[in-house]
Amino acid sequence: MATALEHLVSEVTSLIGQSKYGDAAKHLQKSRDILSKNSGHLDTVLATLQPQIHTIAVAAVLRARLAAAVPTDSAIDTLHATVAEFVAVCDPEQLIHVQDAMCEMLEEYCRLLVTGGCPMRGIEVINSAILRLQAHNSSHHLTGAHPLLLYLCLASQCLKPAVALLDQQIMDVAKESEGVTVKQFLLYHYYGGMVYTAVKRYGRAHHFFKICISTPALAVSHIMMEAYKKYIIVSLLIDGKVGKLPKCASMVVPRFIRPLCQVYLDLIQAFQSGPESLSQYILQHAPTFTREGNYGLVKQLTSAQFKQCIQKLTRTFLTLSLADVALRVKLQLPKLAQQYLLNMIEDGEIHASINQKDGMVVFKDNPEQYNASDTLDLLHERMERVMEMEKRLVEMEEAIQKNPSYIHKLMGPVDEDMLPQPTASTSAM
Amino acid sequence: MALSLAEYNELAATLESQELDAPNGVPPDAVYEKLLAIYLLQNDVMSAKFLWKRIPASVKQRCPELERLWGVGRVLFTRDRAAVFVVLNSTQWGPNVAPIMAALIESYRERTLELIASAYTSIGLDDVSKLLGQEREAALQKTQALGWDLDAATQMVMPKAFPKEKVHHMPSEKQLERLTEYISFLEKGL
Repeated sequence: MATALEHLVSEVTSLIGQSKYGDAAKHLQKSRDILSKNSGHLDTVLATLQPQIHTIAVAAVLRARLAAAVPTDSAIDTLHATVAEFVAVCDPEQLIHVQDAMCEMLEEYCRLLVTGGCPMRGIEVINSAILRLQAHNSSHHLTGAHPLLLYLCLASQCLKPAVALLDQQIMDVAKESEGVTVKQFLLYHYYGGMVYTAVKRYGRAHHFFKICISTPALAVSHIMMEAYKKYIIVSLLIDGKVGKLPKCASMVVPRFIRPLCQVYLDLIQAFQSGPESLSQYILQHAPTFTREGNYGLVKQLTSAQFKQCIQKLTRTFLTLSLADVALRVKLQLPKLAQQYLLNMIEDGEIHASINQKDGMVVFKDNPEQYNASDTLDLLHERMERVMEMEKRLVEMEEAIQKNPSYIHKLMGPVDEDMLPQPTASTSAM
Repeated sequence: MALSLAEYNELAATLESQELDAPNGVPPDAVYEKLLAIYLLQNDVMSAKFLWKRIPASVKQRCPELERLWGVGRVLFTRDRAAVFVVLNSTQWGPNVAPIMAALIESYRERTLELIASAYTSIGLDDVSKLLGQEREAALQKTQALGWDLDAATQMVMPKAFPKEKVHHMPSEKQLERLTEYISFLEKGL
């Protein structure tokens, strides 16, 4: 068996030597089991290869090595160092051909770190791996390593790098052959939603969960189902109701996923019927929520309900006594109502002023006049984004119009001779 | 060594990367202490909370200062404003974090004052002194320095809104250039 391995390595290195990168990658892809069957010899093989020269081979061998790794401290130390070095020095030209193997390798690496209890160590490595994978694209390009970074950040409770990554708008997605499978796409948005939920940026979280549940699908995905549950809770946290599913959502969601989320659908009802029914419902289903890791989030609904109630009051009344606020929102004490009002004013969620002398609160309109220079800055930022988005859209449209199979479909069943010859333009794909 | 807020932000970024680069995932205790304190100063309670959660239990045991720091984080998180000053003032801070915590007291008081100004048209002097964590006399002085009136009969302070900060204007050529960009972009679609 060891000879088969030797043979494979020498063949691949010679292909790399001749710069036949595509062939080398294909050859390795076909011989994956040779690598995994010889996991004992892989360290020796790694020692003979140089990451900057044999990037293609090292990516594949390292993947197999990591898959067979046992999470002991010393093994993690060496492998972590090997991966970090590989990511730092790998050859971008060769990397294009093994993006999927690279992503699989990184996935094994993350799994090892998480089972070894030190996910934090991988954050910098994955961050630079993302830059490597984006080398031929912009920072708006989703790679297979994106969900891995979010995974490590969530596992280590260190969310700042994740938020920095998520705040870069994604405008295009790597192909499946480049390491982004449906699973990765769903995970990116699911983890992304979780990260934003954890830092209480519910608007963004809602957006991410929504993308996750409106991804085209033919089969039920557990990721989608969990995203749907969190989507419901986050929707309630934001404005007390759950909107209709987006039109583009797959039929799988209403048909198969909804029935599996009955506890959460009933939660909407409980939330809308007032504080008593909500707290009773949460108490009653606490074991389910706890088991599914949503209990902390569900508990936040209680204060969200009070806040939304107060926000409704601001739309109806101009002035109200603090006692009345407490009564209408069903808080026990006027003191508590004042506390809520104060917090909401601090967060800019309502505009009001409290008059302790008369025990009244005056609700005001939004004092923002939209005439300061920060409004202009905001406008500028949004315009820039729209303009960049439009540029991307034009590019994508051009790419589609040049796509031979699209043209084929558009022209319907026609004579083969009539087809435009796939010209140089297809290389743009 | 009192630093400005911008310098603290820089220091925080350095500390964050020290934490990420730590050879076995655990940086020196001082990194945790300073980072936790700076997060509190930046009013970034979420980051502080997650930092507290990810600090290994062994470090927490070895370094009781962290527990005390998070004690402040906890009351900031639950927004128990009166308790914030009680905790801050009653704790003796180590040399690593003492200047940061002193800055926190100042900035938190400043922030609370602004909040009072925007949220109240009248507020009891007792409440002001509680919110600011100061004696009645000191609180009264502070409010009078801002020109807030005191109704002696009811012991109510009448806060006045803080004047809005001056807006910075960008040069009009730059503004014109931007507008030209927008118009040419919008016209293109027609």
